Amino acid sequence: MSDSDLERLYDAHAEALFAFLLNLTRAEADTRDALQEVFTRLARQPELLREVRDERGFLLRMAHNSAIDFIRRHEVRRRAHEGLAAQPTELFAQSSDPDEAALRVELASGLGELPPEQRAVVHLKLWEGLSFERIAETLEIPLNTAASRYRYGLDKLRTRLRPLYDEIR
Amino acid sequence: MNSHESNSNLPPEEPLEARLASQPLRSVPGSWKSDILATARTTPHTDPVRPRILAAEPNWLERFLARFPVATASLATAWVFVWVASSTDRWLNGAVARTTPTVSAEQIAEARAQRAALWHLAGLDDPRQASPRAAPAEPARSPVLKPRSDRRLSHDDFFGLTSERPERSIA
Repeated sequence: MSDSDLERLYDAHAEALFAFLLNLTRAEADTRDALQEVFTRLARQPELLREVRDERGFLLRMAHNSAIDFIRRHEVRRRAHEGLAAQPTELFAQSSDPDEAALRVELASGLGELPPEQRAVVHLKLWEGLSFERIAETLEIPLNTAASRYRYGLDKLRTRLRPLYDEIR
Repeated sequence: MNSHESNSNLPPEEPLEARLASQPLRSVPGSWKSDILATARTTPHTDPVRPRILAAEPNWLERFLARFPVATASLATAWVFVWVASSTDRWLNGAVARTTPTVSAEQIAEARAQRAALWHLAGLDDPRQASPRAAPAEPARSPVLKPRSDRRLSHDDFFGLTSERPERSIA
């Protein structure tokens, strides 16, 4: 793959991959390593993208697989630091509005409490705007599984955020 | 919203979803781009990873065997010979087992009858049909000897304090 092709891929997809990876791994260092892994694979094996129609979906799948590998690889470390995943991560942009800032902190914390598989579906639905069909294809899961994971994840977020949401609405 | 704006054709169904989806995500740090792309371009293409045991073992083993080519060849020849001999023996045993005819119950009974007739003509008892020898009778225990527990002397008996053993009281 030429340098310009790799740069084009980065410019087009790095933002989305970064946010997705950060939401999954909940650690900036792991996010960077996983993102590096994705682009290193693309540079080594340009043929991976040769017959891909949905470039974003394919890259999100690569990122998801990479993040799952990281999560598994670091499971021992994560167990040693129990509760790391539930810690609020700077997942969202800063806000000058205190209500929005509070909502973002609470939302980041609530997302951290979801299992990674639910978090991945919620992220792709809410912030990538993918349909359940495309989420199912991206994560290689059945359509009903994608829908049910989204429903369960959103229910948990709703329960968690409802008091604050009602207050600031 | 982030630079990767939602391209959803399925709008969020409730206000909470819409509110969550509108929260802008963090952007990727600008300094990462040059590092990640440079590393991706310069990382050498490596062969598929061999299993650790295959990757590590041949180095010293090959070096060791290469130092003694005659011994290595002899060892290999010996192993081949043992393998051939073992395989041949197993095959021959199988062939013998396959060619051995099976003996029916009638043939066995007839053979026993013939053997019994032969012993009878010879005027001898067929040892296989003779009743097992009776076990020697246990020698009668001498009436003088009592069980060891009865022969044990009490303290008083030993010192001659009692002439007769007193009856034990249950209480």
